[in-house]
Amino acid sequence: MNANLWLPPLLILLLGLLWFRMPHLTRPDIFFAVTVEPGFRNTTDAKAILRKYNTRIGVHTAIAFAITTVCGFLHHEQFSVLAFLWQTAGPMLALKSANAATRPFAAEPSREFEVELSPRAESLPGGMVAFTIPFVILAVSGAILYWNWQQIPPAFPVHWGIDGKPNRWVDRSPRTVFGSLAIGALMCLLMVVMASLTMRSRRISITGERGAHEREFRRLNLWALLGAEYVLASVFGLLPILSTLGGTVAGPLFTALTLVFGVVTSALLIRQGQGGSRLWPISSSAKPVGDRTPDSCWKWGMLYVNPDDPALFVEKRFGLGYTVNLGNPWSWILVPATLAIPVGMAFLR
Amino acid sequence: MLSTPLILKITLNGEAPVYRQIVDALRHALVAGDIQPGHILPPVRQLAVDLGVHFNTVAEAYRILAGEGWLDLKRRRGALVLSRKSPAHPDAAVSGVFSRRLRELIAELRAAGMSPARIARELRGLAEGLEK
Repeated sequence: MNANLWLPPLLILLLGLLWFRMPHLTRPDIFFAVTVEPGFRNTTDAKAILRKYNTRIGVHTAIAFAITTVCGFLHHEQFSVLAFLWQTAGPMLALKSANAATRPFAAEPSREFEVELSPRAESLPGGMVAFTIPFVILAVSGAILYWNWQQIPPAFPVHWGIDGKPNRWVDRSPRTVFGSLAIGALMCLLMVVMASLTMRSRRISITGERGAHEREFRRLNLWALLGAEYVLASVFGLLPILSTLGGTVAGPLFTALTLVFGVVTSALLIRQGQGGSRLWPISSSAKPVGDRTPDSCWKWGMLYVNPDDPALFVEKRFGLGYTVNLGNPWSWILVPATLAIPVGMAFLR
Repeated sequence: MLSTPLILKITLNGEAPVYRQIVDALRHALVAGDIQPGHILPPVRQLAVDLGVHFNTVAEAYRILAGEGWLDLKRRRGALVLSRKSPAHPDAAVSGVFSRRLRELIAELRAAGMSPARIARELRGLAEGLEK
Protein backbone atom coordinates (compact mmCIF):
# COMPACT_ATOMS: atom_id res chain seq x y z
CA MET A 1 0.00 0.00 0.00
CA ASN A 2 1.20 3.50 -0.85
CA ALA A 3 2.87 5.00 2.23
CA ASN A 4 1.62 8.46 1.23
CA LEU A 5 -1.90 7.26 2.06
CA TRP A 6 -1.37 5.84 5.54
CA LEU A 7 1.76 7.39 7.04
CA PRO A 8 0.68 11.08 7.36
CA PRO A 9 -2.71 10.18 8.96
CA LEU A 10 -0.89 7.79 11.29
CA LEU A 11 1.54 10.54 12.32
CA ILE A 12 -1.41 12.88 12.93
CA LEU A 13 -3.00 10.28 15.21
CA LEU A 14 0.29 9.78 17.08
CA LEU A 15 0.60 13.54 17.58
CA GLY A 16 -2.99 13.59 18.83
CA LEU A 17 -2.16 10.86 21.35
CA LEU A 18 0.85 12.87 22.50
CA TRP A 19 -1.31 15.98 23.04
CA PHE A 20 -3.80 13.84 25.02
CA ARG A 21 -1.03 12.51 27.25
CA MET A 22 0.77 15.81 27.74
CA PRO A 23 -1.23 17.09 30.78
CA HIS A 24 -0.36 13.85 32.61
CA LEU A 25 3.38 14.21 32.03
CA THR A 26 3.94 17.50 33.86
CA ARG A 27 5.05 17.85 37.46
CA PRO A 28 2.16 16.91 39.81
CA ASP A 29 1.83 20.45 41.13
CA ILE A 30 1.69 22.01 37.67
CA PHE A 31 -1.56 21.73 35.74
CA PHE A 32 -1.80 23.30 32.30
CA ALA A 33 1.25 25.42 33.12
CA VAL A 34 -0.24 26.78 36.36
CA THR A 35 1.12 25.99 39.84
CA VAL A 36 -1.61 24.18 41.79
CA GLU A 37 -1.94 22.11 44.94
CA PRO A 38 -0.62 18.57 44.23
CA GLY A 39 -4.09 17.10 44.78
CA PHE A 40 -5.84 19.58 42.49
CA ARG A 41 -5.86 17.35 39.43
CA ASN A 42 -8.19 14.94 41.25
CA THR A 43 -10.85 17.62 41.86
CA THR A 44 -14.02 18.01 39.77
CA ASP A 45 -12.82 21.46 38.57
CA ALA A 46 -9.60 19.97 37.22
CA LYS A 47 -11.44 17.06 35.62
CA ALA A 48 -13.83 19.49 33.89
CA ILE A 49 -10.90 21.51 32.49
CA LEU A 50 -9.19 18.32 31.33
CA ARG A 51 -12.38 17.05 29.70
CA LYS A 52 -12.82 20.28 27.74
CA TYR A 53 -9.16 20.16 26.66
CA ASN A 54 -9.49 16.52 25.56
CA THR A 55 -12.60 17.33 23.53
CA ARG A 56 -10.77 20.12 21.71
CA ILE A 57 -7.77 17.89 21.02
CA GLY A 58 -10.14 15.22 19.67
CA VAL A 59 -11.79 17.72 17.32
CA HIS A 60 -8.46 19.12 16.06
CA THR A 61 -7.05 15.63 15.55
CA ALA A 62 -10.14 14.59 13.59
CA ILE A 63 -9.91 17.67 11.35
CA ALA A 64 -6.16 17.18 10.74
CA PHE A 65 -6.72 13.46 10.09
CA ALA A 66 -9.43 14.29 7.53
CA ILE A 67 -7.15 16.79 5.74
CA THR A 68 -4.29 14.28 5.37
CA THR A 69 -6.60 11.48 4.27
CA VAL A 70 -8.29 13.62 1.62
CA CYS A 71 -4.92 14.96 0.43
CA GLY A 72 -3.62 11.40 0.13
CA PHE A 73 -6.57 10.14 -1.91
CA LEU A 74 -6.51 13.21 -4.19
CA HIS A 75 -2.73 12.80 -4.67
CA HIS A 76 -2.06 16.28 -3.29
CA GLU A 77 0.31 15.12 -0.53
CA GLN A 78 2.05 18.50 -0.51
CA PHE A 79 -1.02 19.95 1.23
CA SER A 80 -0.62 17.50 4.12
CA VAL A 81 1.58 20.12 5.72
CA LEU A 82 -1.64 22.05 6.42
CA ALA A 83 -2.83 19.14 8.55
CA PHE A 84 0.37 19.21 10.59
CA LEU A 85 0.06 22.98 11.03
CA TRP A 86 -3.52 22.45 12.20
CA GLN A 87 -2.40 19.70 14.57
CA THR A 88 0.08 22.17 16.09
CA ALA A 89 -1.94 25.39 16.20
CA GLY A 90 -5.23 23.81 17.31
CA PRO A 91 -3.85 22.04 20.40
CA MET A 92 -1.85 25.16 21.29
CA LEU A 93 -5.11 27.11 21.40
CA ALA A 94 -6.66 24.31 23.49
CA LEU A 95 -3.73 24.63 25.91
CA LYS A 96 -4.17 28.42 26.06
CA SER A 97 -7.84 27.98 27.00
CA ALA A 98 -7.08 25.30 29.61
CA ASN A 99 -4.32 27.51 31.04
CA ALA A 100 -6.75 30.43 31.40
CA ALA A 101 -9.36 28.16 33.01
CA THR A 102 -6.80 26.85 35.56
CA ARG A 103 -5.41 30.24 36.62
CA PRO A 104 -8.20 30.93 39.18
CA PHE A 105 -7.09 27.77 41.02
CA ALA A 106 -3.41 28.77 41.18
CA ALA A 107 -1.64 28.01 44.47
CA GLU A 108 1.22 29.88 46.08
CA PRO A 109 4.34 27.72 45.66
CA SER A 110 6.83 27.18 48.43
CA ARG A 111 9.38 29.98 48.57
CA GLU A 112 11.96 27.80 50.28
CA PHE A 113 14.80 27.01 47.93
CA GLU A 114 17.52 24.47 48.46
CA VAL A 115 20.74 24.85 46.54
CA GLU A 116 23.87 22.78 46.38
CA LEU A 117 26.99 24.35 47.87
CA SER A 118 29.41 22.70 45.48
CA PRO A 119 30.18 23.26 41.81
CA ARG A 120 28.09 20.89 39.70
CA ALA A 121 29.55 17.41 39.43
CA GLU A 122 27.37 16.41 36.47
CA SER A 123 29.09 16.30 33.10
CA LEU A 124 28.20 15.76 29.46
CA PRO A 125 27.72 12.04 28.68
CA GLY A 126 30.89 10.88 26.98
CA GLY A 127 32.50 14.26 27.63
CA MET A 128 33.29 16.84 24.97
CA VAL A 129 34.95 14.12 22.85
CA ALA A 130 31.60 12.39 22.25
CA PHE A 131 30.04 15.72 21.28
CA THR A 132 32.96 16.53 18.92
CA ILE A 133 32.95 13.29 16.88
CA PRO A 134 29.88 14.33 14.78
CA PHE A 135 31.84 17.38 13.58
CA VAL A 136 34.65 15.03 12.55
CA ILE A 137 32.13 12.90 10.61
CA LEU A 138 30.94 16.02 8.75
CA ALA A 139 34.50 17.16 8.05
CA VAL A 140 35.52 13.73 6.70
CA SER A 141 32.39 13.66 4.59
CA GLY A 142 33.29 17.08 3.17
CA ALA A 143 36.82 15.90 2.36
CA ILE A 144 35.54 12.75 0.58
CA LEU A 145 33.12 14.81 -1.51
CA TYR A 146 35.86 17.32 -2.34
CA TRP A 147 38.33 14.66 -3.51
CA ASN A 148 35.64 12.85 -5.56
CA TRP A 149 34.08 15.96 -7.06
CA GLN A 150 34.16 14.66 -10.63
CA GLN A 151 32.28 11.50 -9.67
CA ILE A 152 29.31 13.40 -8.26
CA PRO A 153 26.52 13.26 -10.86
CA PRO A 154 25.37 16.60 -12.38
CA ALA A 155 22.06 16.26 -10.49
CA PHE A 156 21.48 14.33 -7.28
CA PRO A 157 18.54 13.82 -4.85
CA VAL A 158 18.28 15.83 -1.62
CA HIS A 159 14.77 14.98 -0.48
CA TRP A 160 12.73 11.81 -0.38
CA GLY A 161 9.00 11.27 -0.09
CA ILE A 162 7.33 9.10 2.51
CA ASP A 163 7.29 6.33 -0.10
CA GLY A 164 11.10 6.44 -0.17
CA LYS A 165 11.33 7.85 -3.69
CA PRO A 166 13.39 10.99 -4.29
CA ASN A 167 11.16 13.99 -4.94
CA ARG A 168 13.67 16.83 -5.08
CA TRP A 169 16.89 17.02 -7.08
CA VAL A 170 19.55 19.70 -7.19
CA ASP A 171 22.40 20.48 -9.56
CA ARG A 172 25.95 19.80 -8.49
CA SER A 173 27.58 22.97 -7.16
CA PRO A 174 29.71 23.86 -4.11
CA ARG A 175 26.61 25.47 -2.55
CA THR A 176 24.42 22.36 -2.88
CA VAL A 177 27.13 19.83 -2.03
CA PHE A 178 28.88 21.57 0.87
CA GLY A 179 25.95 23.72 2.00
CA SER A 180 24.13 20.80 3.58
CA LEU A 181 27.32 19.89 5.46
CA ALA A 182 27.50 23.43 6.81
CA ILE A 183 23.84 23.29 7.86
CA GLY A 184 24.53 19.93 9.51
CA ALA A 185 27.46 21.42 11.41
CA LEU A 186 25.29 24.33 12.58
CA MET A 187 22.59 21.95 13.79
CA CYS A 188 25.18 19.83 15.62
CA LEU A 189 26.54 23.01 17.19
CA LEU A 190 23.02 23.84 18.31
CA MET A 191 22.79 20.43 20.03
CA VAL A 192 26.09 21.12 21.85
CA VAL A 193 24.83 24.55 22.97
CA MET A 194 21.53 23.05 24.13
CA ALA A 195 23.32 20.29 26.05
CA SER A 196 25.54 22.85 27.71
CA LEU A 197 22.55 25.01 28.66
CA THR A 198 20.61 21.98 29.91
CA MET A 199 23.53 21.20 32.25
CA ARG A 200 23.41 24.77 33.55
CA SER A 201 19.62 24.82 33.96
CA ARG A 202 18.06 25.39 37.37
CA ARG A 203 18.00 22.52 39.83
CA ILE A 204 14.53 22.39 41.37
CA SER A 205 15.04 19.54 43.82
CA ILE A 206 18.46 18.59 45.11
CA THR A 207 17.87 16.03 47.81
CA GLY A 208 15.83 12.87 48.23
CA GLU A 209 14.00 10.88 45.62
CA ARG A 210 12.89 13.96 43.71
CA GLY A 211 16.45 15.20 43.38
CA ALA A 212 17.67 11.79 42.20
CA HIS A 213 14.95 11.44 39.54
CA GLU A 214 15.46 15.03 38.39
CA ARG A 215 19.16 14.29 37.83
CA GLU A 216 18.20 11.12 35.96
CA PHE A 217 15.79 13.11 33.77
CA ARG A 218 18.43 15.74 32.99
CA ARG A 219 20.89 12.99 32.12
CA LEU A 220 18.39 11.41 29.72
CA ASN A 221 17.90 14.79 28.03
CA LEU A 222 21.66 15.07 27.58
CA TRP A 223 21.82 11.59 26.06
CA ALA A 224 18.93 12.53 23.75
CA LEU A 225 20.79 15.63 22.58
CA LEU A 226 23.95 13.60 22.02
CA GLY A 227 21.96 11.02 20.07
CA ALA A 228 20.30 13.77 18.02
CA GLU A 229 23.73 15.15 17.17
CA TYR A 230 24.84 11.77 15.81
CA VAL A 231 21.61 11.34 13.83
CA LEU A 232 22.13 14.82 12.34
CA ALA A 233 25.76 14.07 11.51
CA SER A 234 24.66 10.84 9.79
CA VAL A 235 21.90 12.53 7.81
CA PHE A 236 23.92 15.60 6.80
CA GLY A 237 27.31 13.91 6.57
CA LEU A 238 26.76 10.37 5.28
CA LEU A 239 23.62 10.93 3.23
CA PRO A 240 25.31 13.34 0.75
CA ILE A 241 28.02 10.73 0.15
CA LEU A 242 25.55 7.90 -0.38
CA SER A 243 23.23 9.92 -2.58
CA THR A 244 25.98 11.44 -4.74
CA LEU A 245 28.68 8.78 -4.85
CA GLY A 246 27.02 5.62 -3.63
CA GLY A 247 24.69 5.17 -6.54
CA THR A 248 21.88 3.79 -4.38
CA VAL A 249 19.54 6.09 -2.54
CA ALA A 250 19.83 5.83 1.22
CA GLY A 251 17.11 8.41 2.00
CA PRO A 252 14.50 6.00 3.40
CA LEU A 253 17.12 4.39 5.64
CA PHE A 254 17.94 7.73 7.23
CA THR A 255 14.24 8.64 7.48
CA ALA A 256 13.69 5.39 9.35
CA LEU A 257 16.72 6.08 11.57
CA THR A 258 15.34 9.52 12.45
CA LEU A 259 11.86 8.16 13.15
CA VAL A 260 13.14 5.31 15.33
CA PHE A 261 15.35 7.72 17.26
CA GLY A 262 12.41 10.10 17.78
CA VAL A 263 10.04 7.36 18.95
CA VAL A 264 12.55 5.72 21.33
CA THR A 265 13.63 9.05 22.85
CA SER A 266 10.02 10.18 23.28
CA ALA A 267 9.07 6.87 24.92
CA LEU A 268 11.94 7.13 27.41
CA LEU A 269 11.10 10.74 28.27
CA ILE A 270 7.39 9.95 28.62
CA ARG A 271 8.24 7.12 31.00
CA GLN A 272 10.06 9.56 33.28
CA GLY A 273 7.68 12.52 32.98
CA GLN A 274 8.80 16.12 33.28
CA GLY A 275 11.69 16.39 35.73
CA GLY A 276 11.37 12.64 36.45
CA SER A 277 8.06 13.41 38.19
CA ARG A 278 6.31 10.21 37.11
CA LEU A 279 8.83 8.18 39.07
CA TRP A 280 8.29 9.73 42.49
CA PRO A 281 5.31 9.17 44.80
CA ILE A 282 2.83 12.07 44.86
CA SER A 283 1.85 13.50 48.21
CA SER A 284 -1.37 15.49 47.86
CA SER A 285 -0.88 17.16 51.26
CA ALA A 286 2.54 18.64 50.48
CA LYS A 287 2.89 22.34 49.69
CA PRO A 288 3.37 22.87 45.95
CA VAL A 289 6.96 23.33 44.86
CA GLY A 290 6.26 24.07 41.20
CA ASP A 291 9.26 24.63 38.99
CA ARG A 292 10.69 27.71 40.71
CA THR A 293 9.35 30.08 38.07
CA PRO A 294 6.45 32.51 38.59
CA ASP A 295 3.14 31.67 36.88
CA SER A 296 2.78 35.26 35.69
CA CYS A 297 5.85 34.93 33.44
CA TRP A 298 4.38 32.06 31.40
CA LYS A 299 2.54 33.24 28.30
CA TRP A 300 -0.07 30.86 26.89
CA GLY A 301 1.47 28.19 29.12
CA MET A 302 4.30 27.78 26.62
CA LEU A 303 6.57 30.83 26.50
CA TYR A 304 8.64 31.87 29.50
CA VAL A 305 9.51 35.57 29.61
CA ASN A 306 11.17 36.71 32.82
CA PRO A 307 13.87 39.40 32.62
CA ASP A 308 14.44 39.09 36.41
CA ASP A 309 15.39 35.41 36.19
CA PRO A 310 19.09 34.87 35.39
CA ALA A 311 18.37 31.36 34.03
CA LEU A 312 18.50 30.94 30.25
CA PHE A 313 17.12 27.39 30.18
CA VAL A 314 14.23 26.32 32.41
CA GLU A 315 11.99 23.26 32.52
CA LYS A 316 9.01 23.40 30.18
CA ARG A 317 5.69 23.66 31.95
CA PHE A 318 3.81 21.77 29.26
CA GLY A 319 5.84 19.16 27.47
CA LEU A 320 9.07 17.36 28.24
CA GLY A 321 12.49 18.94 28.44
CA TYR A 322 13.65 22.51 28.62
CA THR A 323 12.81 25.83 27.05
CA VAL A 324 14.39 29.24 26.69
CA ASN A 325 13.73 32.20 28.98
CA LEU A 326 12.85 34.81 26.36
CA GLY A 327 13.45 37.54 28.94
CA ASN A 328 17.16 36.69 29.04
CA PRO A 329 19.18 38.81 26.54
CA TRP A 330 21.11 35.69 25.40
CA SER A 331 17.86 34.27 24.06
CA TRP A 332 17.78 37.15 21.56
CA ILE A 333 20.86 35.54 19.97
CA LEU A 334 19.94 31.89 20.50
CA VAL A 335 16.39 32.00 19.11
CA PRO A 336 17.20 33.87 15.83
CA ALA A 337 20.25 31.60 15.36
CA THR A 338 17.97 28.55 15.68
CA LEU A 339 15.43 30.00 13.26
CA ALA A 340 18.20 30.80 10.77
CA ILE A 341 18.83 27.08 10.20
CA PRO A 342 15.54 26.30 8.36
CA VAL A 343 15.99 29.55 6.41
CA GLY A 344 19.44 28.33 5.36
CA MET A 345 18.01 24.96 4.34
CA ALA A 346 15.37 26.67 2.20
CA PHE A 347 18.12 28.73 0.55
CA LEU A 348 19.95 25.54 -0.42
CA ARG A 349 16.95 24.10 -2.26
CA MET B 1 20.20 27.04 57.01
CA LEU B 2 22.65 24.37 56.02
CA SER B 3 22.31 20.61 56.05
CA THR B 4 24.43 17.68 54.91
CA PRO B 5 25.48 17.14 52.18
CA LEU B 6 26.21 20.86 51.89
CA ILE B 7 22.78 22.14 50.97
CA LEU B 8 21.87 25.77 51.55
CA LYS B 9 18.22 26.52 52.26
CA ILE B 10 16.93 30.01 51.56
CA THR B 11 13.47 31.51 51.99
CA LEU B 12 12.93 33.95 49.16
CA ASN B 13 10.19 35.97 50.82
CA GLY B 14 11.77 35.71 54.27
CA GLU B 15 12.27 38.69 56.55
CA ALA B 16 16.00 38.93 55.89
CA PRO B 17 17.22 39.84 52.41
CA VAL B 18 18.56 36.92 50.39
CA TYR B 19 22.19 38.05 50.40
CA ARG B 20 22.04 38.32 54.21
CA GLN B 21 20.54 34.80 54.48
CA ILE B 22 23.36 33.45 52.30
CA VAL B 23 26.03 35.25 54.36
CA ASP B 24 24.55 34.13 57.67
CA ALA B 25 24.10 30.50 56.63
CA LEU B 26 27.56 30.23 55.09
CA ARG B 27 29.29 31.95 57.99
CA HIS B 28 27.52 29.64 60.42
CA ALA B 29 28.68 26.61 58.43
CA LEU B 30 32.23 27.98 58.16
CA VAL B 31 32.50 28.68 61.89
CA ALA B 32 31.02 25.30 62.76
CA GLY B 33 33.50 23.59 60.42
CA ASP B 34 30.77 22.11 58.21
CA ILE B 35 32.59 23.67 55.26
CA GLN B 36 36.29 22.98 55.36
CA PRO B 37 39.14 25.07 53.92
CA GLY B 38 39.86 23.99 50.33
CA HIS B 39 36.19 23.40 49.52
CA ILE B 40 34.99 25.25 46.44
CA LEU B 41 31.60 26.94 46.66
CA PRO B 42 29.56 27.13 43.43
CA PRO B 43 30.22 30.00 41.04
CA VAL B 44 28.06 33.11 41.47
CA ARG B 45 26.14 32.35 38.26
CA GLN B 46 25.22 28.81 39.28
CA LEU B 47 23.97 29.86 42.71
CA ALA B 48 22.02 32.80 41.24
CA VAL B 49 20.37 30.59 38.60
CA ASP B 50 19.40 27.94 41.16
CA LEU B 51 17.95 30.56 43.51
CA GLY B 52 16.38 32.61 40.73
CA VAL B 53 17.93 35.83 42.05
CA HIS B 54 20.13 38.44 40.43
CA PHE B 55 23.84 37.65 40.11
CA ASN B 56 24.64 40.73 42.21
CA THR B 57 22.73 39.28 45.18
CA VAL B 58 25.02 36.25 45.35
CA ALA B 59 28.11 38.27 44.40
CA GLU B 60 27.43 40.67 47.30
CA ALA B 61 27.16 37.74 49.76
CA TYR B 62 30.44 36.27 48.50
CA ARG B 63 32.14 39.68 48.65
CA ILE B 64 31.17 40.12 52.31
CA LEU B 65 32.58 36.71 53.21
CA ALA B 66 35.70 37.36 51.13
CA GLY B 67 36.10 40.64 53.01
CA GLU B 68 36.00 38.72 56.28
CA GLY B 69 38.75 36.45 54.97
CA TRP B 70 36.65 33.33 54.50
CA LEU B 71 36.70 33.11 50.73
CA ASP B 72 39.04 33.62 47.80
CA LEU B 73 36.89 34.55 44.82
CA LYS B 74 38.07 32.74 41.72
CA ARG B 75 36.64 34.04 38.49
CA ARG B 76 34.19 31.48 36.95
CA ARG B 77 35.57 28.56 38.99
CA GLY B 78 33.72 29.36 42.18
CA ALA B 79 34.79 30.57 45.59
CA LEU B 80 37.61 28.81 47.41
CA VAL B 81 37.15 28.44 51.17
CA LEU B 82 40.24 29.69 52.96
CA SER B 83 41.81 28.62 56.20
CA ARG B 84 41.06 31.49 58.52
CA LYS B 85 42.15 32.02 62.07
CA SER B 86 39.84 34.08 64.28
CA PRO B 87 41.59 36.94 66.12
CA ALA B 88 42.55 35.98 69.69
CA HIS B 89 40.83 39.05 71.13
CA PRO B 90 37.93 40.79 69.38
CA ASP B 91 38.16 44.55 69.37
CA ALA B 92 35.82 46.68 71.47
CA ALA B 93 33.61 47.56 68.50
CA VAL B 94 32.84 43.90 67.81
CA SER B 95 31.93 43.29 71.44
CA GLY B 96 29.70 46.36 71.40
CA VAL B 97 27.89 45.19 68.26
CA PHE B 98 27.44 41.72 69.76
CA SER B 99 25.80 43.08 72.92
CA ARG B 100 23.58 45.47 70.99
CA ARG B 101 22.40 42.81 68.50
CA LEU B 102 21.76 40.35 71.31
CA ARG B 103 19.63 42.92 73.18
CA GLU B 104 17.75 43.78 69.98
CA LEU B 105 17.08 40.11 69.27
CA ILE B 106 15.82 39.48 72.81
CA ALA B 107 13.52 42.51 72.55
CA GLU B 108 12.22 41.21 69.21
CA LEU B 109 11.54 37.77 70.67
CA ARG B 110 9.78 39.20 73.72
CA ALA B 111 7.69 41.44 71.49
CA ALA B 112 6.77 38.31 69.52
CA GLY B 113 5.49 36.69 72.74
CA MET B 114 8.38 34.49 73.82
CA SER B 115 8.68 34.34 77.60
CA PRO B 116 11.85 35.62 79.32
CA ALA B 117 12.27 32.19 80.92
CA ARG B 118 12.23 30.47 77.52
CA ILE B 119 14.72 32.98 76.07
CA ALA B 120 17.02 32.47 79.05
CA ARG B 121 16.79 28.70 78.62
CA GLU B 122 17.71 28.95 74.94
CA LEU B 123 20.65 31.24 75.69
CA ARG B 124 21.89 28.93 78.43
CA GLY B 125 21.75 25.99 76.05
CA LEU B 126 23.74 27.90 73.47
CA ALA B 127 26.27 29.05 76.05
CA GLU B 128 26.80 25.51 77.30
CA GLY B 129 27.31 24.35 73.71
CA LEU B 130 29.96 27.02 73.21
CA GLU B 131 31.88 26.10 76.33
CA LYS B 132 32.13 22.43 75.50
